[in-house]
Amino acid sequence: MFLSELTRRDLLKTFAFGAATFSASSLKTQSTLADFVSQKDKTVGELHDGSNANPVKLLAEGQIVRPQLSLPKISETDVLVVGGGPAGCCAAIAAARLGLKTTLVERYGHFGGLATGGLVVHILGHWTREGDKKVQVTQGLGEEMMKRLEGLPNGIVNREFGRNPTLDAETYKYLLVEMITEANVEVFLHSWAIDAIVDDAPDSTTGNPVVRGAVIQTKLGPQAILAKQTIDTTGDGDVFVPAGATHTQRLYNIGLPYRIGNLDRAKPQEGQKPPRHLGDVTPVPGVRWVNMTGPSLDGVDVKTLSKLELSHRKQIWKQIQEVRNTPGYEEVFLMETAPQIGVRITRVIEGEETLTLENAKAGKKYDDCVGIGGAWHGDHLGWQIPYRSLVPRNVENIITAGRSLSAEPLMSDVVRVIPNCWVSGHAAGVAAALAAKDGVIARNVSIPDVQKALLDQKAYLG
Amino acid sequence: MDNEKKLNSSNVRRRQIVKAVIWSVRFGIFSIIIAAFLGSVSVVSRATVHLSPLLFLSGTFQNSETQSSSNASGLIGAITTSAASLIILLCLLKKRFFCRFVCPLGLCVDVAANIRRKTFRTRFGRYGLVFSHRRFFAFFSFFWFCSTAPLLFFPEVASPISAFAFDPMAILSQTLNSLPKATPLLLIFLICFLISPYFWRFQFCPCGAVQELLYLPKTFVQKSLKHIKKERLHEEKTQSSIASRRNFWAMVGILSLSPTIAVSIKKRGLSLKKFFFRPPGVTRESEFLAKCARCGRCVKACPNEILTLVNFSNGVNSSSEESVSPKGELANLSLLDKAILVGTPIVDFARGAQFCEKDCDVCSQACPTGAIFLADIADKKVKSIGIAKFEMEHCMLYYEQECSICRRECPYGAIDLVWLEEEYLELPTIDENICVGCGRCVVTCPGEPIFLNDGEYVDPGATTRVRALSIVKKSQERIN
Repeated sequence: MFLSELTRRDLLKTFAFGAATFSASSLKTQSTLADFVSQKDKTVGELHDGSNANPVKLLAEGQIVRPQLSLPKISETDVLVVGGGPAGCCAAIAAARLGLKTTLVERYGHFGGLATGGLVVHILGHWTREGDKKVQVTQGLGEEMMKRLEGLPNGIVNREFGRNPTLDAETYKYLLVEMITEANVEVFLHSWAIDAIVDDAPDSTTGNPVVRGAVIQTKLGPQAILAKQTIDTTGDGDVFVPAGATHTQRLYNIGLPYRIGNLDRAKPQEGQKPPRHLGDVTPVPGVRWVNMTGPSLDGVDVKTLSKLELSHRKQIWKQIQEVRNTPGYEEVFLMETAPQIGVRITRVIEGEETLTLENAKAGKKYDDCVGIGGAWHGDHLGWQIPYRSLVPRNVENIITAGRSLSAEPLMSDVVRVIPNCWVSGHAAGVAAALAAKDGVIARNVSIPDVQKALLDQKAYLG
Repeated sequence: MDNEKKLNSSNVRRRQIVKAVIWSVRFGIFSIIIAAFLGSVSVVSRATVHLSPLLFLSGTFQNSETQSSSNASGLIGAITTSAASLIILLCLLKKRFFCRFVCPLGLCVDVAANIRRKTFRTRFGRYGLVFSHRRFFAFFSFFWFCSTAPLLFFPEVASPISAFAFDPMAILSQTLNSLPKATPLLLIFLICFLISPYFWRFQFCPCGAVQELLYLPKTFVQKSLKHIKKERLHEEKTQSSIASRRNFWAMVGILSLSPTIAVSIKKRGLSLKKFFFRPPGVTRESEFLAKCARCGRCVKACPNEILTLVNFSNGVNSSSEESVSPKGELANLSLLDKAILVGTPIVDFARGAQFCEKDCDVCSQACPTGAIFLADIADKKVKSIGIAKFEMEHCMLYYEQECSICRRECPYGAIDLVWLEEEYLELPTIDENICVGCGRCVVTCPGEPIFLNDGEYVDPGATTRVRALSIVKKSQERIN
């Protein structure tokens, strides 16, 4: 694990992670931690003379180039999941439960993506209406997570029939650590996928390039993870874009949710309308989360994101002052703003099948259905997610899930919510695992096997 | 009766057979029409209304496009048109042919007259109590028809209670649409039975008045040829009072009063206009009120059941939301206003959270008088129900809740979310050039989030929700 190259800071970081996972009380975690401890002395105080450095060069004509680089291999795995959000976690857990070596890469120090780091804690859209009755279409891992959250203190609220519950970000972070360590998933946190590793030879049957893993950016520079199957759940297509998959880049609302506290100490006067920016309830008493729509802009442009962070923070401060200036609400305070900016939709693959709103409304059926998506307020029929909408048209052995699966713009708006990400992530994990097991390209995985495995894992397929 | 006795027996028998044949034909036609009205074949029942000479002629003269739209239903439409044309032709030759052979109310009147003749033969004489008022009612009926007939040319002067509403076929349709509301038919029965059997047919029925007009040429021809005996001519005069000179002048007198009535009624119509949403294909309320036969065919035809008929009990104890249902407004109307509106269709989006389907013009096809008239589907954009209006204060987004349902649901793509820097929000904006007021956004809008006292947010879907979107009337300038 390249521990010889660990700096002190990295060591402390790994220690921190080790401590976090230790609390999950898994034997595996304990042994990993022991490894770190035994290798402590090797890594401290070692001199690097800089001869291995390979910096980017500024050429005479003003061009900036990256010299060719031989990358160290940090891991070799069966299923590589890049992006540890709701979709990625489900994918990793599902694949690992099928007995394959699974690796999960996440850019932050925690799992859950927008559901935790983005403070989008509302479980919007796991109900549908069929005639007069409501049906919960989000089953399998998503339902398991909600059930387990119920068992944790302040884990989830409003979990009633037909309602959209709200979870607690910190509890969910913990639960994901628990579930991922239980499933024995290899984890790389603080790692940002920057490239796809594509095989020299194209696939013999389709002629498309074949993805063999991804490159992650770490403090030690870029490192390679080789994988039989790769799942891109970054939401931004951090792997399928460099792999050359056809995709569309979209502008969508980018907001910055936040949490406020002390609401239990608010003393609203009789008949007084509460202030506007009170947002929605959370499982923690006296704490509410406030969503933000934000303008529709390019969520992969760093200039835009930076500008929005500055502007959103000013707006949040303004809104808090507005609440605090309301009589009875003086003690309300800003608990935290989301560490991760609320980018909703950026890049979406062009799959073999594209979901359209028209088809969804018409209840179109697919042979390769691997999940059922829900409605935001349980107000319409469920829609089938075909496996082909997860598979890019022109690249092999990489599939996607979550918000970047193939859908037209208005449909992406329905696809992107957390329960639907759970469902598609679960399906992607199972499909990639079976493809890795059978040694076929992801496109050719046996759909009946995938459906059967999904049903074994209690998923709902209609 | 005495005459009959003098005739020889074979003649009597022949007349009896003819009579029996005529009556069985009438009952046959009657049962066919009733079956068609009640039957599941909507095209047939729709076509049946067009058999009425009044409605058929009004369709032909008012709007050639209306005619073509009513003919659109293929073979059955063609059969209806030819049958209706044949009836008109026969009305020209045979006096009140429609009343005597086709009209279901005509049959009712005759049955009532037969019973009455046998029961109270001599009590009030042939015309009973209203003998002296007979002429007045005939004028009234005729004026009424005249005020409605030239609608195409002077919709402003038209009566707000259409003569079409008293067309026998429209009454039948109205009655059979909802049997509990069978009052008009029962009322006519009662009038026929108690006061005068022929009161309805000769003095009131606008369809009868039209038939009188149709028969006029033949009367004049007969007069000029002087082939008719004096007493026959006399009888003719007393019966078809419409054709008499005195009635003509009385009619002129009443018509000269009409501008005053029309103006006051028009004002009333304008004051009512802002409250109600008519089916697509209706532009001017005054014109609509004059044309609408109150037959209820559109309500029965609407596949999404968003149409409902105004009745006197509408709005009483109504808990429906005002943003989607006009029932609250109806409750506030005066009796006179309601009397004008009763039986007309209004759009009520609260009925099962429905909306006006994009590719549907069934109401227009069902309308026998052209009151609802869409030349084609694209015409819905011009003759729209209304236009969606957005109120920020009731929007989920205004309260920092995730929502974009209206944009997603709008069948026309008329709604977009637009960033407002000042509000720091993206809010729905409605493209007025695209929106037709179909109501889809209104019925799907989750509405303003509700906060309980403890600050807990209640999921949308509560019945008491206040929606951010509503349908409003388009401004008059846009219509004209």
